[in-house]
Amino acid sequence: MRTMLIDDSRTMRNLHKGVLVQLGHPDIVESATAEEALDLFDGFHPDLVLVDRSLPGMDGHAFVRAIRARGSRAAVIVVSAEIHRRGIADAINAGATTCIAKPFTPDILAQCIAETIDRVTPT
Amino acid sequence: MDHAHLDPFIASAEHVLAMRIDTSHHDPSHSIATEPELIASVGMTGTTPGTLAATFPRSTALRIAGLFAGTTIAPDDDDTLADAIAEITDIIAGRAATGPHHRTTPTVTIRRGLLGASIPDHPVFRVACCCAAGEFSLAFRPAPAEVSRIAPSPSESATARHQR
Repeated sequence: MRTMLIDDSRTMRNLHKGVLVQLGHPDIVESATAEEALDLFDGFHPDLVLVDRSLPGMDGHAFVRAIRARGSRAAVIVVSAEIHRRGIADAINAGATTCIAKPFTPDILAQCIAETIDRVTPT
Repeated sequence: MDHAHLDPFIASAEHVLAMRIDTSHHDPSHSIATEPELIASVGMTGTTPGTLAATFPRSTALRIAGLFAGTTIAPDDDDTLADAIAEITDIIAGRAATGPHHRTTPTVTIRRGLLGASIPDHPVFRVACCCAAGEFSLAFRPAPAEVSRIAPSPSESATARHQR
């Protein structure tokens, strides 16, 4: 499984990478901005995207809309510090598969990733 | 001083730090008030317009950042330390907001070697906090009224359109 991480915080990217590697998904491309991620997107064809809601420049929701407009069917998890209902609805409306609120433990992130992959990969 | 402005941030900080740090007790040996400080600030709009500033002694910042990142941060690794503290402060600010808002990218200032340095004396609400990793403080400076007037209210917009 190919995963793309987009977060302007190196700390968060490292946390996400650690969980993904533990889950057996070490094929990861990371980016600090949505603009850079879009440049890398078509060459990488990720199956899973973890994108921060708040990014400098293009935000996470705009990134999700952009990849959906390109026809991507990747599973997308929007990571956000905001927990209000409107933010969750905005993420889903933008095309996200699900959302996860920061902060979270590695176990919670691992569970979210596993459930998201299951949702887009029916058995 | 009325700390009501800070209540959502205090509750948010407790929730965020409790994921990795024991917030139920405080080890006074971690309190070193004369250390150089790290100040992380985030500007916010929306229901709580203003600036949140979190100030840490360096040793506390290293412990909190290391526990949050799940790794030991080298004492001289300012980039990693600033990145982790910025993320923690951003999460605290984001969770404190009760509705849609915008936040600036957090700015972290490391006052290495400036013993006794203090935050400029702006009219802010400030409270000392403590956890097992040490002491830190949270401060909030509400946005001046002029800022909220930049964006006209719906009724003002309607009036302006009517006058044209």
